[in-house]
Amino acid sequence: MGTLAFEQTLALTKIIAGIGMGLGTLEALYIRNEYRSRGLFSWEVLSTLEIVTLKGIWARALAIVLGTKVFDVILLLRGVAAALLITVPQGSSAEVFCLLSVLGVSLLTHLRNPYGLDGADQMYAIIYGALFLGSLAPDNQIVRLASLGFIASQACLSYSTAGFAKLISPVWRNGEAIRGILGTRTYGLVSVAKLLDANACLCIVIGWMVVLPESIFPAAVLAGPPVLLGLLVWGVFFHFLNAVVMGLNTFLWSFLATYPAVWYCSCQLYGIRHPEWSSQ
Amino acid sequence: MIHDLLRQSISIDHNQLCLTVPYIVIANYITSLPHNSVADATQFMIMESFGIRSTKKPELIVVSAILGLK
Repeated sequence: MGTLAFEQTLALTKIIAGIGMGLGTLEALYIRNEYRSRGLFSWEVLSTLEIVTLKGIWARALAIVLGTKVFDVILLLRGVAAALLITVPQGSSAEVFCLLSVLGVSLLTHLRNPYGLDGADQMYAIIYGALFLGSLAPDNQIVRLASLGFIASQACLSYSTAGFAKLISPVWRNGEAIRGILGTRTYGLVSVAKLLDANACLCIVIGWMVVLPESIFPAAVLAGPPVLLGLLVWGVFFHFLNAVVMGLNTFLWSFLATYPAVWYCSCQLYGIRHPEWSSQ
Repeated sequence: MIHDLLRQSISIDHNQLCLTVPYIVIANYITSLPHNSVADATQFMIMESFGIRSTKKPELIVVSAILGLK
């Protein structure tokens, strides 16, 4: 167990986020017919949600970009830019351009899909937004640190908000929420639902295995690598199982992409309190 | 989308539901699906079910108007 160098942390973040972004792009392109005028995400209908997308010169420009096959090409370019980020040199203008491309298309996608996105897409926008701002000042140590710190803080905020919201809910504390969610056709599996139905204690245990680690996540970051390591291992299993059982595969990559920044920041904080550890 | 429609079905008058974006999105999608060539109209409904093993019957939430097919 050791610290990661700043450049290694950035590289790992971009690799993990790039894999997720690539898979997300392929998924979006696979259902591209749903973005046509007769599809579920028809721009002709969804553009009526906001006045800026409905009327005026901006609306006409957006209709060309978001309402036609041009959007497919833009999505494809986002996937290519995310993949290129893994190989382009850090601190180069190519990196800034790729980060801006991925961030720009991600923000356009939020405008395009008011109904089709989730927390994983928001996390990608935050990760790439922070990386982009950090890349604007490659020689400024404070800005570079702030970009990773922001990603780590967002991970802490996401987990703790979800954890405390569950903690105050009786159905999460008594395991009923786990049984209910994994018993739905959308997020459940018949085999898992049967297993949980026959074992109420297992529901309570699983419920608390979700609530507790989520709630104490920020404290673990502050406590340092020895405690955090266990929580990150939990996180990998948690998101992997969510992907397999619940179909939430996008969360796996978007949240794992924050882990290098979380680890790096935790090591830095721990190193301040334990100078002998950081010199190992 | 469905959550948005369900929320609006509670908060607004049923007659105004067909003016909401989620309703129009679903209506656009349903009318665009392949239909029998002799069909000249279609309709959709949203129902709430209660899990994989529940014996409780699904409950009706929203029934659309008759939607003409071009």
